[in-house]
Amino acid sequence: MGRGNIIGLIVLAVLVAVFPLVMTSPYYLRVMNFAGIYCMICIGLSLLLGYAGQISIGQAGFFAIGAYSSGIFTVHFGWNPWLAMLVGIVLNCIVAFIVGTPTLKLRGHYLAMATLGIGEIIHVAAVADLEDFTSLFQKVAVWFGADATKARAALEPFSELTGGPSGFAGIPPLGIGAWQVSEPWQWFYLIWIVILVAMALSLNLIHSRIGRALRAIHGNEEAARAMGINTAPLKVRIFIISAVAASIAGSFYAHFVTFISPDTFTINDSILFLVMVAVGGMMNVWGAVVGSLIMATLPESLRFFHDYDILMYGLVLLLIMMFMPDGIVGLVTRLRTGLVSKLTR
Amino acid sequence: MNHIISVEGIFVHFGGVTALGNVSEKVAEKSITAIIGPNGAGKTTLINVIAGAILPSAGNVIFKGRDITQLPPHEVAEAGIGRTFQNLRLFRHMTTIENVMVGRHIKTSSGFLSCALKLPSSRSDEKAIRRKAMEYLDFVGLSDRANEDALSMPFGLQRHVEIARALALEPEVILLDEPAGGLNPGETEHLAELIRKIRDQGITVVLIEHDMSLVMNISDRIMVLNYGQMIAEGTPEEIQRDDAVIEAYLGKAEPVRAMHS
Repeated sequence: MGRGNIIGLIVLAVLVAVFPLVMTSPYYLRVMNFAGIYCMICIGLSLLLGYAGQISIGQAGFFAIGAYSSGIFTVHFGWNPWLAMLVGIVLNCIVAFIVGTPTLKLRGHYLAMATLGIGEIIHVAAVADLEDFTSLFQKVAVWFGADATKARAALEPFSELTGGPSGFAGIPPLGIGAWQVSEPWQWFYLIWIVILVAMALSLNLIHSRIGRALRAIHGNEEAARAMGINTAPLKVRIFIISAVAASIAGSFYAHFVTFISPDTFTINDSILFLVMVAVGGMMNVWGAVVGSLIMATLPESLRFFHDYDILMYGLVLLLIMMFMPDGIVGLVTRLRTGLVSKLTR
Repeated sequence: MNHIISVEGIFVHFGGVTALGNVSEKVAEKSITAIIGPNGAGKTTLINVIAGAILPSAGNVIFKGRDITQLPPHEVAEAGIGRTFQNLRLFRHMTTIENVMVGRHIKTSSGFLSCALKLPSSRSDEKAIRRKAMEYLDFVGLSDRANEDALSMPFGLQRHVEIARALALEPEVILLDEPAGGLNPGETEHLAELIRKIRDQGITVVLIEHDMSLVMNISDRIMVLNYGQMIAEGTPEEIQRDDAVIEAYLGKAEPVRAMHS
């Protein structure tokens, strides 16, 4: 993966190890935990956007599937959280496969439109009052000759599954056996170790035949095909990987916050993830880390703009695209190579 | 002599325009065949039909006895036909050697999981890919510029990178679309040598070219297209004497009218 990336991973590992020792305030740890959860989504999105050249405006939907799978299966069915997380991953793989297969065969930004749609559908499904569906199914059951109260009783658990617009609380923490992740610093280590692993895997992937094929597709799809690369399945797989990353982030979110509601999974959030990747630099996975750290800590210092956050995101995206399309990581890389060539001249 | 590629009765229509009308041609194994003709004659269209990038409305492309007309570009490449593009299509944000390494994709097989976990199979693939790519760069004389950004290299060298990238597929046929376009006479001379060297490796070369001295110099056979029709075919000597070719290039010779009236 190159010396620069290995040094980068070591630096990140040291920062992760030291941070909770220096910053003991639970508040800052919480902020960093949220940044980490967003970072997981952004790593997946960065692979999709920066290396396969495809845009998803529906990552919040995949995030939601992960969070709701973890929430519903642990709270309502008492499942092991890790098993519930796995269910979310599998569901997301299925959804991403169904959405990605037809749209990624076409050239152009059909995936962007399809993900915009699927993100909204998932949000609407989360907001929907399941009471309506329960009474509908009850009527159908009665029509087939079932007893009204018995049908109602059988359907009762489903009417409360998602909690509708207000969501639901009481999601248990993650844990292994009797040991549970409860303190903010424990969460910090768990989340950021997952990110370190995800970064290592992503960097390996990028610097392999698969990663080169993906970059080739981004660079020139026609030439990539002339090199014998079957582009569609590769794009579908990287899209599925981005959905899995969002799913894992969703599960972590549900267990960390212990409460989920549809407000967290709107199109605004999908756009925020794109802004994070763009700010950090979409030509490099490190951009995902930098972008999510900046954008997750920025709102804390920009509380003043709170009601205008989407306006601020739009403005930031516009400025980045106009003045530094390679993001912060791109800018730093350029400055460094410029400095090196000046010094060696 | 064995024919490695034959196109039979190819028709291509773009809307109402006939880009190719009933073009048939056989390409001999391990030969250099040039396709020439004025601009808009359908040369690139023919290359695209062979490479699977354009589906003809009628006709067949036979490669080593197999009908490849319907195959998508990536399967044509896998079958053993490499190509370059008229307007360079190198992969941006990639170094010269990385561009050539993409050409080794189909010769290796490690998947997503093996690559992400850097399993031994992926490591050995990566080593082999880099070594092979270096060999092809060396073949076109660019091994000393392996780590330069491909798109920031001089134009003439970018053409060589494209050729190395296509050769990395280990093709049996290589299609070169105007390889001398934008090259100076010195570079063109060097290219002629390279093309002969490729043929000497046992690879069949089909090229589109406007540089007549290059074409006449290196080709075993030449086919001439004009307005989507094949108007002549033969050895360089035969083509130079062909009346239809002279007419297509220079216009019809009309009897000189008497100046006085």
